[in-house]
Amino acid sequence: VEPSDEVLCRRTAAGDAAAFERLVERYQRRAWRLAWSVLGDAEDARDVTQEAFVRVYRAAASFAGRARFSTWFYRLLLNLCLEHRRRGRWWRRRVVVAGDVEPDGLEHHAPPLDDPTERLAHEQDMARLTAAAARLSPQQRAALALTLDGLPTVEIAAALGCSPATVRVHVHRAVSALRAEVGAAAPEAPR
Amino acid sequence: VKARPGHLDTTLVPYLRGELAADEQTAAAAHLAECAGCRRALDETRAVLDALRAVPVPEPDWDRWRAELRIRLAAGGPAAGRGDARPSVAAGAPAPGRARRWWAGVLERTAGRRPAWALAAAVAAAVVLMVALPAGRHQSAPPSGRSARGPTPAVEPFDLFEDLDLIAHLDRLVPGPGG
Repeated sequence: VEPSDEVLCRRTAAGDAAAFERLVERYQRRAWRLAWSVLGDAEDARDVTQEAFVRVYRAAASFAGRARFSTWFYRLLLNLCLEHRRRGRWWRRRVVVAGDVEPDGLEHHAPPLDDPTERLAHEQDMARLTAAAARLSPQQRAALALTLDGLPTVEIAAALGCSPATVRVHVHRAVSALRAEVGAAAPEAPR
Repeated sequence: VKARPGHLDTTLVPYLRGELAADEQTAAAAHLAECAGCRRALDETRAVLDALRAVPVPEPDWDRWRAELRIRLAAGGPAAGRGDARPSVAAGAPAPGRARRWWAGVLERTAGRRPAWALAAAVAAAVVLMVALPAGRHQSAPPSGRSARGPTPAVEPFDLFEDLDLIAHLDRLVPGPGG
């Protein structure tokens, strides 16, 4: 039976390097997706995700185990993301348009589409959606990314340090903005 | 999660995710059956979420990412270039095992990012050094991570390797006893 995240964190605190490696394996992709979604920049995402794991390693002993490890970790990571933006590097944010070649060797995993016309339309949609997502607030992007990751609203709230109602507002506003942007969307339903 | 009476706005996504309480989920479904506006909003919300899931997320080179993480862990102090972002290190945090390696201190001051050209230059320099090392220039390696404040020009460029395994292999080049 695979040990839980919480067990691995306690072992990390006790100096078990293998347990830490296992935590990194489990969370590196999720961390990356979240950081990339919030920061919109691969270099920033690299910096912040690595820093998050460094802090897990150094501060594993301070994980009290009252919350889930995932909540603790996401909170730590999101704080780093927001701090990163406050330090003013967010202007480097690039909107990644599907099909662009990234200079740092990133691989873009686009779903395969056979029909060129369909592919073009799809790529344009994706580009518009990504550009619109880049204009959301960091909190909205974080809430949306964690929603897409399947995290329950209460856990997203714990990770963002706000109430579940606030998470729902973030997600609703984000989705509404994207709906409007993608064109499918329509005026809000009449009250 | 409380559903508002009437239109589903902030409850659209919780409804789609099945997060509403049973009675609220039922009430929302009943409202949707009657309200074309909310049905359209629901369809569009679902479409946006599906599309977002399909947005390609660029993946880093994970080998390189892990190698850089090792460098930062080995660096011990605050991660390079992040002086204002000191962690609140808890008492009893583990001593990083890898930091005990002799090269840890060498990495300490140089764990920041490098432009691509610097990497290329470093690889070239390192190839030269790999040839030179067996000739016995390696005896001045610091005994512990913290003692590498002084210049160690012959060894420093090694941190520019993206793959720390390569650095680890350099240990083999250290002359043996009496070497």
